[in-house]
Amino acid sequence: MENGAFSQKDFAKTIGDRALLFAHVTTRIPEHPNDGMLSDVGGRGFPTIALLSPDGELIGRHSGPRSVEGLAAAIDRAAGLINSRAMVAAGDEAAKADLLLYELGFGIVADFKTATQRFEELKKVTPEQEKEIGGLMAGLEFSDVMAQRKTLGGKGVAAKAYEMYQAGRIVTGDIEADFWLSGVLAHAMFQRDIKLGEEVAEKLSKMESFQDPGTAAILKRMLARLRNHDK
Amino acid sequence: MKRMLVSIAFGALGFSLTAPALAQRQAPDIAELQKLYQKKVSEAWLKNAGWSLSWEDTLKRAGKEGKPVFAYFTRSYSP
Repeated sequence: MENGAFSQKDFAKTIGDRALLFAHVTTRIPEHPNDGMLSDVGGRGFPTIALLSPDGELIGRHSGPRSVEGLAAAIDRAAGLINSRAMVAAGDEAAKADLLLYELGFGIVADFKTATQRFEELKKVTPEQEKEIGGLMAGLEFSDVMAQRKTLGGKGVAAKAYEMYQAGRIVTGDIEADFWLSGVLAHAMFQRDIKLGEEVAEKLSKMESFQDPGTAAILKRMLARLRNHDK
Repeated sequence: MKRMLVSIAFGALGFSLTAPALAQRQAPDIAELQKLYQKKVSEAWLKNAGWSLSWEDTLKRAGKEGKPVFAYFTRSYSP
C-alpha cells in the first residue's frame, strides 16, 4: 500500500478530502507514545487500516480493495454510518434501514439473530434497501450454518445452502457468495442434479475468485464429473 | 543424589554463562529502533500526503472538521 495507493498522485486529494489521515508506527521503543494502539482497534497484524468516527470511536477495519477508489468507498461508508447514527438519534425512522445496512457492512451487526430482529423492527425500508440488507443477512445466515458444519456434515451444509438458494435468500459479498454458491454446487453434485449444477457453475464462473485458471479448471472438472456420472 | 547435585551445578553454571549473552541478544537496541523509526517517518508516501503521526492532533482536528479518521497501522522495527 505504501508504494501503491498511498504513493499515487490522487491519494492525498481523494482520501484527504474525505478523512483525517493518521499513520501509526509501532516502534517497539520503550515508552514510545501509543505504541500498543494497534490492539486498541483490534488489529492483529501489519498493515491494518481502521476507520474511526470524529470522536475516535472505532467504526471498523477495512479489509476490502486497497486501491484509492476502494479506500475512498470505505471512507464514504464510514461517513454514511456516522451520518445515519446522527439521524436515527434525532428520531429519523427512515435512516434506521441505512444504519442497519452500514452496520452489517462493517460487521458491527455480526449475528443473524440480531440482524433479523433489527430488520423486523424497521418501519420504513425501500425495496433496494431490503434487497441489500437481505443479501448481507443471508451471509450471516450461512455463517451460522457453517458454524454447525461438524454436526450437519458436508451434505447437511450443502442442503442448507440449497434451501437458501431455492428460497431466494441470495448471499452477497464476493467471498461469502463464492463460498455459499460452492455449497449449492456441492448439493447439485450430491443429488446428481445436472440442471442445478450447470446453473450454479455459470454463476460461479463469473465471480472474481473463479477467474483464477486453477479454480476455473476445478469448476470445469466438477461439472464434467456431474454430467458424465451416469454415462 | 551426588550425581543429581552435580548436574544441577553444571546446569546452573551453564545458565550463568549463557544468560548474559541471551539477554544481550534479546534486549532491544533502542538506538537502532530509533534509527529505524526515523527512517520510516521520513518515507515519501508519509511526508507527501498530509499524514499526521499524532493521535491527539488527529482527534482534535477530526472533531473540529467533523470528518472520520483513516488510520493506517504500520511498523518501523521490521520491514
